Amino acid sequence: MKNLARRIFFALATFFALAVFSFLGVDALPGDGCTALLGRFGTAQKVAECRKTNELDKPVLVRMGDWSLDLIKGDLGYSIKRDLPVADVIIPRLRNTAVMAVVAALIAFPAAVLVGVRLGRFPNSRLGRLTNQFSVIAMTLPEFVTATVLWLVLSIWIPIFPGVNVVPSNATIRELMPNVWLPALTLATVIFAHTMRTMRASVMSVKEMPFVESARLRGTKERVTVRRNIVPAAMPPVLSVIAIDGSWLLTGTFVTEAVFNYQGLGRLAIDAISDRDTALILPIILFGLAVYLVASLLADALVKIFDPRQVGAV
Amino acid sequence: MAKRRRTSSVILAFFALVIAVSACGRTSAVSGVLRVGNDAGFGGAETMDPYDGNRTWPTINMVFDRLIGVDKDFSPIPELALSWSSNSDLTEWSIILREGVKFHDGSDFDAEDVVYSINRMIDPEFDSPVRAVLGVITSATAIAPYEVKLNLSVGEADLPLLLADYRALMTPVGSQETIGKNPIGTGPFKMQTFDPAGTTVLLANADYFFGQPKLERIEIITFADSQSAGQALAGDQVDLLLAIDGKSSSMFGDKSKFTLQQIPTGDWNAIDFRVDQKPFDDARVRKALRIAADRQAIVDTVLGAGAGVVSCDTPVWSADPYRWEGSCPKDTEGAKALLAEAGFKDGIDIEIFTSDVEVHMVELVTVYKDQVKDAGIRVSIKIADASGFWDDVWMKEPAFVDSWGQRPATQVLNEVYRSTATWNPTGQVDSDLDAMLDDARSTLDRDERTKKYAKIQERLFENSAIFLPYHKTLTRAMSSKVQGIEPIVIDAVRWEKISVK
Amino acid sequence: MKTILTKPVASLRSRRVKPLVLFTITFHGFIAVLAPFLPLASTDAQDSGSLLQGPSLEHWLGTDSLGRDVFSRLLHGGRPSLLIAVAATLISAVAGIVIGSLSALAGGWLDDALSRLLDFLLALPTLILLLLISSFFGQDPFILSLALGLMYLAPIARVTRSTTQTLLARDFVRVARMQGAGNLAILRGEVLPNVGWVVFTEVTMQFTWILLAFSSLSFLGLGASPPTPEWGLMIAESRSYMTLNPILVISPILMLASLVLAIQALADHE
Repeated sequence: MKNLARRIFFALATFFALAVFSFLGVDALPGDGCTALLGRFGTAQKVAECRKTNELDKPVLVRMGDWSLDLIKGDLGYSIKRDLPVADVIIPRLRNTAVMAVVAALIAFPAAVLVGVRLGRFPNSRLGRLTNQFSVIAMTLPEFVTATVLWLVLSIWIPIFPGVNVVPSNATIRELMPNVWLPALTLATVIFAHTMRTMRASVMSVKEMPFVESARLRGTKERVTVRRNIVPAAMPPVLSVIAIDGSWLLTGTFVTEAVFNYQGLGRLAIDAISDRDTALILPIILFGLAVYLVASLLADALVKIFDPRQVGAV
Repeated sequence: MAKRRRTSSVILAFFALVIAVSACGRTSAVSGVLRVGNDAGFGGAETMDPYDGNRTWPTINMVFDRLIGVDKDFSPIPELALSWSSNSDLTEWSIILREGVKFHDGSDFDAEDVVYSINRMIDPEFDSPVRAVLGVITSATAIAPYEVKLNLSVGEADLPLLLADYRALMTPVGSQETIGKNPIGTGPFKMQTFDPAGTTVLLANADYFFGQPKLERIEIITFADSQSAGQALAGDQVDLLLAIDGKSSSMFGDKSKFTLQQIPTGDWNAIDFRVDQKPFDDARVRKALRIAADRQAIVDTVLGAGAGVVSCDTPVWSADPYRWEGSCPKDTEGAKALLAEAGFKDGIDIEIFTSDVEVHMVELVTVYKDQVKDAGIRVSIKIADASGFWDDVWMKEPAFVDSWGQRPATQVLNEVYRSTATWNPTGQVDSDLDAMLDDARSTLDRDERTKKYAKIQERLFENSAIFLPYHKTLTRAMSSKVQGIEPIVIDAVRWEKISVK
Repeated sequence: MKTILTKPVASLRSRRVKPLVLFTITFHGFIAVLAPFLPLASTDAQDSGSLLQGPSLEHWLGTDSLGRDVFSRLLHGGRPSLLIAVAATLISAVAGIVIGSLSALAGGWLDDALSRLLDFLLALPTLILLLLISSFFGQDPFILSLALGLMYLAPIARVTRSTTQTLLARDFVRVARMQGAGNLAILRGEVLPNVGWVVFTEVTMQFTWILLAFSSLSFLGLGASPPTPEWGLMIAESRSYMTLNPILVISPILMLASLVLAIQALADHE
């Protein structure tokens, strides 16, 4: 318990430090929300007026204070450029990214576990080696390469999926669905490889353990041994990989969304940076951090729950 | 084996499901609906207020009308105005309005609306970008329910063309507060849903004074970049793209599916040199920088073959009646001689700033660099961040890439080249040029005026600080189902005449 | 002389590194260093008459959208990312090894504080911060290397820390300590030469991640700036012309992929 409290404390401290750091950093960027809004023909006078109405002329520390207080009250602020409350901009995109993440997870994780068990049991089969090598490639290639290849094959050469998203950010999930597949497949490729390789390695080490051996000697059927002994024992490291990769699905999607014009949080982040939309950038950075922190706490907790030997360890 | 088969069949079934779901989700074209792909433009800051800097185009031109439109040959034609006339020194204009026109909310369009609209365009407080066009108007008065009088600060022969600016649209009295999101116009289409970052939906205005639109609906779908828009047209996800990259037009070469139109426009790019900074304060250096490049090669490489018209540093475009056709071949020796005369015997090193804030801006300087190197001009390219470009780089750094949209001769010369213009990007002061501009615009006789404008452009080629190599020819791409869009500039397209098979 | 590289080099020799892997890495190293000296077309020279052409005798891999020689740009295209990746990896390796070993040797509150710092670095949303830094400093290669180096040092420091802790418990270190060797002497004499292979592997892995991060930045327009030939940027610039001239996109993909895969294969334990 003490350990958990400590970790939560440090997570909050990290969160706070990054919040301050990002606010000052974004503020130091050349240009601000007003110059971005008024663009090419914004005269000095118009920009000054806009800064005044949006309180951008206050000292940075005062603005940071106001912003933090609003954040605590649950008010994310107002996007000058989009003329909308930040929450109204972010929530539909967050939903879109979440839909994509769920689809990617549903494609990748079950398949990764099944294939991983199989390959862990027979690591030297030819198919096993091939799949393993393919996974290394899939894991290593940057997403923009995987995405471009998938787009080329599944949208241009064999036109199964729409190549780019054309529906707005607030489209219904039904309208969104056809556009989800390609970006989700891109993400799924990466996490499939990652999870599958962990599962495989874990199964390979577990299957040599004495308790598995003794189950076999007792004459338990192989299928039952796999289900009852090997898989449960092999799961903990895989679960923690799933937790971390799951958090990446929500926060690491910049490139993929950019390639497919997918209206999610990653695309929004890139736009917001080029628009100097401070009010919009900060919640996205902090969301990314929060998801990671929760996932890593969860990963550790999962390892502890499923693995009795880990109790008491950090 | 059984296990493996099960695993693979689960995966197979899953993919089958994926394909099935995605196939039935694909949208197909509905008759009577035109889906227009549009660039993101202002990233969500768009407004339907035509006088605002962030006006969303071309949507405003579907909802509102101008007093005066332009014909295919770029001459003024009646739109909401039926006729116009001026006094002899061109400072007072009278405009007779069309009667019986109604706004989308059923109210009548009359002289009061015109006065209201023009007052907003020229309001110094509001400082609309349209003011740069119509700033010569000092007052607008309703002298009858359907007649308006305009007073100008100087004589302007081409006022009708200036009134045909795509933003000089007529809005109802008192609409200032609501027009941004709930526009009421007289145009061929009414606003249904306004979502500039997503899909904007317009419905036909059955009572349109030029006749009922042939389309039932227009959907304007926003894309973050032109590449995804191109993919969407290829995949039948949109019907019309107003402009595509000239180099990728062969993607739409299949005539049974796509129609391509090549339309010369007045859009131009340039490299501007600040005359108040060394070494650009020397007219010889500026001229050397302008004659050292092969403009045709720049057109072919930056825009693609046939996708641009060479211009000899004149901002007046090819279809404008005042266009001066000079000759400006690459002159490496001449450039070297000028540089040597100015004290740069061993060539010159210059920095040019650019940004990918608009298309072709990075390519122009990349190609320019390669073009001028044999004249001893060594260019280093500085890429500035897109969001800071107009604010921190444009008009401030010694040399930078520029980009302007189409404007009639009188407007572009007065807006960009006049010494006192707010957006004179090079800081060049030339009082003789200013006098010539005043003289030309207030000359009543058309032929004489044309000669005077030609003289002005010749002078620009001699001493301007703006290297202006081309005007763009845009490539418009559409599905072959789309009918009724003539190959003319977008300002002259009649949206009510378009149909989709 | 025993150096930090003794073990890795020895085990590279003893391990059976596949010839293909070695060949690929040598090939990439060779062209990255020698590209400017090879008799190639200029990377910037434009042929306005032949844009987006397929392979020919004059242009072996055709031309891009500005009529530039793709083959030449391809061979030069690894240099910016490799330069930045090497610089950033050096920063992260040196800083990571120092922090890791210091943490293990000192223990106590310093170990605690450094571990928290590493947790913080690991938690950072890397790509979005890089995007911010890059747009702030105008794509400055020096700043980008520094930022990448700092963001990717945590795993190296962690591995060094745990390896050092294991070593400290071993007999020969105990003996040295009993002989009166101070922390610094132990670090230099016993720890650094022996952290070896594990840390080397981690550094190599981080090298590929840094390389990929920089390429992704370039792809998003905030890494290398045009007209620099760089693989990520080349892919981004050519995507619109994919269907017209697929080589434009496929060739930089193959270069980037082969380099990264070979380095990973070198580092991989299996």
